[in-house]
Amino acid sequence: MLSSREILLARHRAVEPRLDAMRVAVLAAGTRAVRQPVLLNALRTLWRELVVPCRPAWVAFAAVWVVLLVVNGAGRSAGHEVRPTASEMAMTIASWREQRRLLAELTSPAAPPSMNKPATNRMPDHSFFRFQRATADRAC
Amino acid sequence: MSSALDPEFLPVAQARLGDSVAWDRLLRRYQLPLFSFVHELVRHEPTSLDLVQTTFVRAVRHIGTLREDARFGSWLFGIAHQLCVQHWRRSGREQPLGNLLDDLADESAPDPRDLVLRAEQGEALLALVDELPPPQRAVLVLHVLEEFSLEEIATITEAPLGTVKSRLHYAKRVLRERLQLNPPDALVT
Repeated sequence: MLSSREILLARHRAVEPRLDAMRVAVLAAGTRAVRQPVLLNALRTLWRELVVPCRPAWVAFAAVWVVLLVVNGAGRSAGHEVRPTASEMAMTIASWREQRRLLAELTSPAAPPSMNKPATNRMPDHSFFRFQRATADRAC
Repeated sequence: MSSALDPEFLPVAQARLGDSVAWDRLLRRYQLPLFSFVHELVRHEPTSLDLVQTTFVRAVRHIGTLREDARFGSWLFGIAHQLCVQHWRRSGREQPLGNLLDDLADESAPDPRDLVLRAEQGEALLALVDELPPPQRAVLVLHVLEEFSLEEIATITEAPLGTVKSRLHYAKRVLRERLQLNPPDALVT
């Protein structure tokens, strides 16, 4: 007794020697040509075993990256829009100039003392100094 | 777990690396079923041999496109089926439109795989199979030869699952009707 599969195959058994010869010929010519570099094979294996089985996860990762890039880009372009007004710019420049002037006055040795700072030989009219003078007079 | 000592083990991973021994084992396993399938569709022995040879060459060249090693069989039959379709187109024969059939699934129809026959009865059954239109014949032969699942047959024949179901149903129904009309002696089911 034979199964229908065996019947179907038995019908073509006579061709088997020709199939064998054909297979040998194909393999003699074929497998030499398909021997691929190790690196390419490794990449293919990685792709097949790492990426292909969990494609949805990789797609999700890619989507998250795209969203992050878009959000990042949008934030940058929004930052460019916040620009100081003309009056703010003028104030900033004026403040900067004032600071420069002060710095120059403080560091410049040639500056006239009368203009820059009070005279150092004058005793300041201060209660502490008045007290000192009074006590000195009494001691004399 | 399958190993190299297992007769059913298919060394697809080794074949990917260009191992000629692995290829020999793979192609030896499939050469006769593949030829039977192609011959059932083409009905011309030299053309069938040419198509099987082309199938083998393409398989060796394009093994990198195979996604799952376990699907090697259906992938190989898929290549062969594509070549048969191309052959039909070249020879000016259009594949009959079997997908116009309604899906009339009939679970009571006998499964041809379950038939156990004497050789002469088998010949009678095969003569009936030969009378089926090519799309139904292709699906039936794939179903009987390699016991492919309907999903695999759909992939091989590049047809929707519903179409494959209706083709298989149609093939079984026609076989059953013809067997009832002209029963070979003592068909055992």
